[in-house]
Amino acid sequence: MTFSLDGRQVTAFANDTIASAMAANDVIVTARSFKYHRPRGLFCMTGSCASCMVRVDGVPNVRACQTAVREGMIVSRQNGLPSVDFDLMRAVDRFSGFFPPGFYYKSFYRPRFMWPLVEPFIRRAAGIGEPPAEDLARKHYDAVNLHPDVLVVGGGPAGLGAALEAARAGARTTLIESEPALGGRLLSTGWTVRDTESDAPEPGFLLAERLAGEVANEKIDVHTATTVFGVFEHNLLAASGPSGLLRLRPRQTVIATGGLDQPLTFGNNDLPGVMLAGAAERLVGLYRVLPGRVAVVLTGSERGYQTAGMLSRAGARVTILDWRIDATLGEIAGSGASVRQGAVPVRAEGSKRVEAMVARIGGSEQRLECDLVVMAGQVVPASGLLAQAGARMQYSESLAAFVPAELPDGIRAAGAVTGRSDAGASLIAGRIAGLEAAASPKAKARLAALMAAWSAAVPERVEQPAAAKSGAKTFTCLCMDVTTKEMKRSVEEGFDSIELLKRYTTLGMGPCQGKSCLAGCVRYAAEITGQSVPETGVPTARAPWMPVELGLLAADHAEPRKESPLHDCHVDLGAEFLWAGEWRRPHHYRDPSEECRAAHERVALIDVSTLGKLRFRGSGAVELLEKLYPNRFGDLKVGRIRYGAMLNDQGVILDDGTVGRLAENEFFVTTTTSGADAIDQWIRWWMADWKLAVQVVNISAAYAAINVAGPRSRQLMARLTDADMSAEAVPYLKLAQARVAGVPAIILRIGFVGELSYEVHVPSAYAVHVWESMLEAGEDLGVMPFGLETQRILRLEKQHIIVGQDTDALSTPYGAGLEWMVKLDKDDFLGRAALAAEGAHDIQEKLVGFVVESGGLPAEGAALVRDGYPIGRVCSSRWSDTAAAFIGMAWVPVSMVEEDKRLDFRSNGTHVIGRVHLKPFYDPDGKRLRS
Amino acid sequence: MSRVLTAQDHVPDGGPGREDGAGRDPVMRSAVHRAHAAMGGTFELRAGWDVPSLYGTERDEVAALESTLGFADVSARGKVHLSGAVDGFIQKLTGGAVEPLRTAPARSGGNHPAGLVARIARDWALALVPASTEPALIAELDGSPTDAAMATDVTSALSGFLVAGPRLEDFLAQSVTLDVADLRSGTCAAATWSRIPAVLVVRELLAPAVEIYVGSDHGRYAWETIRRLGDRVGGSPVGWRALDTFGWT
Repeated sequence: MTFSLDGRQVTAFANDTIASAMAANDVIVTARSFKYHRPRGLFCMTGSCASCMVRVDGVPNVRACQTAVREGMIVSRQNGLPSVDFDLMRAVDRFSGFFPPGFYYKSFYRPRFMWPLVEPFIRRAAGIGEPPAEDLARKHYDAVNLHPDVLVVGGGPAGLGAALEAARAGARTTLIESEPALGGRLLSTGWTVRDTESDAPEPGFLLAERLAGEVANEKIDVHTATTVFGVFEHNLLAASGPSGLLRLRPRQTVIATGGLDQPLTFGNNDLPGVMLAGAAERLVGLYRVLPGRVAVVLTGSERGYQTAGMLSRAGARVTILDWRIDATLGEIAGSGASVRQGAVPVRAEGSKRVEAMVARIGGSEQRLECDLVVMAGQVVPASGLLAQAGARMQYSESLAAFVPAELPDGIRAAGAVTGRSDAGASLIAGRIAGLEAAASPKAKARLAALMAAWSAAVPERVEQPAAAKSGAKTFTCLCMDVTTKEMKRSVEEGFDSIELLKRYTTLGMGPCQGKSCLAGCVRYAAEITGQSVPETGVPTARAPWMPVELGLLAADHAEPRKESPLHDCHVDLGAEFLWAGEWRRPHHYRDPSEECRAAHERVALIDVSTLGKLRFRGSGAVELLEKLYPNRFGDLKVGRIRYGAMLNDQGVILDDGTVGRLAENEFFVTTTTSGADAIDQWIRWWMADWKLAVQVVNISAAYAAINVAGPRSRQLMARLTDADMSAEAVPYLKLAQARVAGVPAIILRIGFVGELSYEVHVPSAYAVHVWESMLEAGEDLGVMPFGLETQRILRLEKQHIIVGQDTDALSTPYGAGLEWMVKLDKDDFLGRAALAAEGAHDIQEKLVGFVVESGGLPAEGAALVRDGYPIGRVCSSRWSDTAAAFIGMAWVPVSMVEEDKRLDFRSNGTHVIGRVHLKPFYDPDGKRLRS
Repeated sequence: MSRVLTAQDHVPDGGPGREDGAGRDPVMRSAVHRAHAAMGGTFELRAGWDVPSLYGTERDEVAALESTLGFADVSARGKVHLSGAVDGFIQKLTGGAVEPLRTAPARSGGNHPAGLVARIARDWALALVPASTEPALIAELDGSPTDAAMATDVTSALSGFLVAGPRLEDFLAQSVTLDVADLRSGTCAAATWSRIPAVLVVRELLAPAVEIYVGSDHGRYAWETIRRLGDRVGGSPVGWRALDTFGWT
């Protein structure tokens, strides 16, 4: 197949990754580095570094070594200006002395105008990739929740063994593997591996194939090309893959994430052509790509000889530089390579590709020309997920690495992640872990047999050679371009602990999250601080363990919204909507002034279905109300309504609404729109303590509510119901139950907007019918719907408060003008103790109305000032046609609560002068409301 | 007895209501009525409710329920919220006891037909009955109110959706954080479903099925979510005729 790489067509095989295809097509420089724009080539081939990140079909920072090629895909290499092959920004590398760690904290801040000039340049020069195009920002990511009995993370020998045993023991098993195929390192292993379940050792890749086949025959939920990137509280693991975001909540987890090849520290250890042993093995063993013709293998263990053998058999001329001086030469057998012992790597040489390796051998430097340098050093446990899960890591002297010493409940580890690097041993360890995780009582004999086959032999210790003076940059963290020199300088500046070093230099904070560098960084930090490696420790492991697209973290993002049953009617009427908390509500249908006029002069409708509604029933209902509200409800007659505000135990206003008495022991309680659910919870919380003989049910969504307001509202109601709606039959604050438009309704004679009005509650399934009936029946009366904006103007003209808008976390009834409501002679109610306390009446500020004299509309939130200092604030403000002025409500010092008192506001830089207005701007005596 | 008026107070025969003062025939509609129309749904009146009858052909819709996934708006179902000491109510309805998180068939009795009881918690159950029969059920259960327990008509409060078919597990895995394996036929749960509170009632009809009840104010959001998640597993909307064939009541 073919795909586009930087605009040219590149051929590949079906099972190639982008990285292997690049290697096969002699694309040596795969990217430019984060800070110095140094050329980088394939380095790990396991997704554990940032050196092959490319842009694929517009998505930045895709790991080329983990991404299978697709016909026609568009790939571009990143970070080159103008191109990765010829990058002008490489000049930064020449001047690296000017860019020490944290240089942006210490440079360009004086003179002050410098930083704004320099910052864009720094931001452009540094970083990896560019944000995706806007259309990709709208890409959808799916999310799935999985609850396996046993989750196995890692599809290498240990993971395969664990998954097979767990599934065979009857556990619902999920297996997650980050590579496109199962097998892990077995896939690229040509040498034989012994599975205790079979008669004879098998070549690694054949064993991988057999085990993968067995997995396919079991009922195992396999997710390949999927990476677990985090372990979170309550045993939640998150993974990303082709099916989007997986949220996994297993009963047991087996972590079998294997080991990580660690690079060596020598000069120019980042040159393209310098790679880890695993990368070379994969290129040769998995993709049949020879990464170099003349190879130098740097090693201190048998592993290097195995890798050298692979390269040699593939046709490369190989020289092994073994830093040990007493290696057993038997290891050379079959490697087909020449060997030099006691060879300490000093530096690689070359420009855009390694051309030679210089090593110190027997006290002198020797230069070996080559086009490939393979680092076969230490393999450390890939224990990031274990550490995130809370495993205690302990330094193992025998392995010279941190290994998991104590695992949290429900987590098991098997294979190389525990420090064991032998594939055969990993396989059997995995089998044991899987069987134990399945916890099947029938599996005891099987477990005993496996345990008998288990060998606790300790693998060989691999010492890494110390960093030699090379005269070239020696990188400890490739992702973030951190060198040994920079680490040393940071320590000299006082950043001498690994956590401080990490934050100051950003080592380990790049896309690899320390996978390819942390062990080396810790070792080098120990060396330059004079501490031991265990004393130096490792930084805290945090998610994500692998790079994750930001969109995936918000996968399947859905924004729940609430809509009234009349929503479609509002759309039909051309309403403009606004978010009111979780609700979508009509802001207006036409000019709010026109809507106000309809309410004042004719009849107007507003959908108030969003109000919270509760049903209280029981002999303890009155007592419950008495405890919840500061005012009295015992004397509320059946069929009457009373306004009330709920307080918390500090006497602060929480919510307000009406209480209507349906029957002796039954009440219909309304709350604010935003407070409905919280008040429901609040009441339940207290009821658990009070244990009153009352039932409370939240029926908010059961009823739609329409407020019919205006002088002609009675006329309209009369057309819709046979019930008597006269002032005598249904006076102000009266509750009636009758059919409206043929539908059973609860009618509340209340008037938030200050006009004669009826709040009609009907079962929400009938909402559309009732709304349409009202509009139809009121056509000749000039009926008009009105939105929230008009409601806010109308209620402001009446100085009716909105809890949350006009009150805050300190507002008590005394300040908000609701002192009439507080009945301290009641036995008890929530907030009573606070309101009865000495000094509770000595409030500092009060809520008052005001009218603007000059300066325009003061913004909500504008400060009331005196002598330049804020002393109060505007909480609501609007233009009122009725008052022919800007009006509002504000919290002002008590000393200023005086009719016509001058108020000075600072609003968005302008000076607004207002006057206190203590009475409502509209119908101050409430005659219209009560008419 | 005194109680909040219910939606069906004016339809004692279970049929459409009378002509009212405004000359309109009161018809009950679910919160997503308009969405059904936009999807090409045709409607029919059932016990005062205008319910989606078909979107395509009945045959295709039944096939979806049997072979992949079908989803339907069953908001018209009568729903009665039982709160407090609900054992007595449950005894009356089922003739026995029902443990929390379990469902049981409700027997017909008095003026109400058979239905289903989902006991969600010790003090909370949902009685599910055919459309417009809930007033009769409430009258029988709660005719003599006590302090200990209460029956409330929540038919209008809850939008209900049936999702059924062999791909149900895949559908649920996208939308609930509960272990889908625990949602076996005959169980129920109050759970967060696609980020909103819901009651899930799991049933075994001709295929695995779940009824999802959410606040009717979340009804449109829920339907859109069901369609989106259902589409992903090859599902399609089905009307009430297909539900009849499918054996849903």
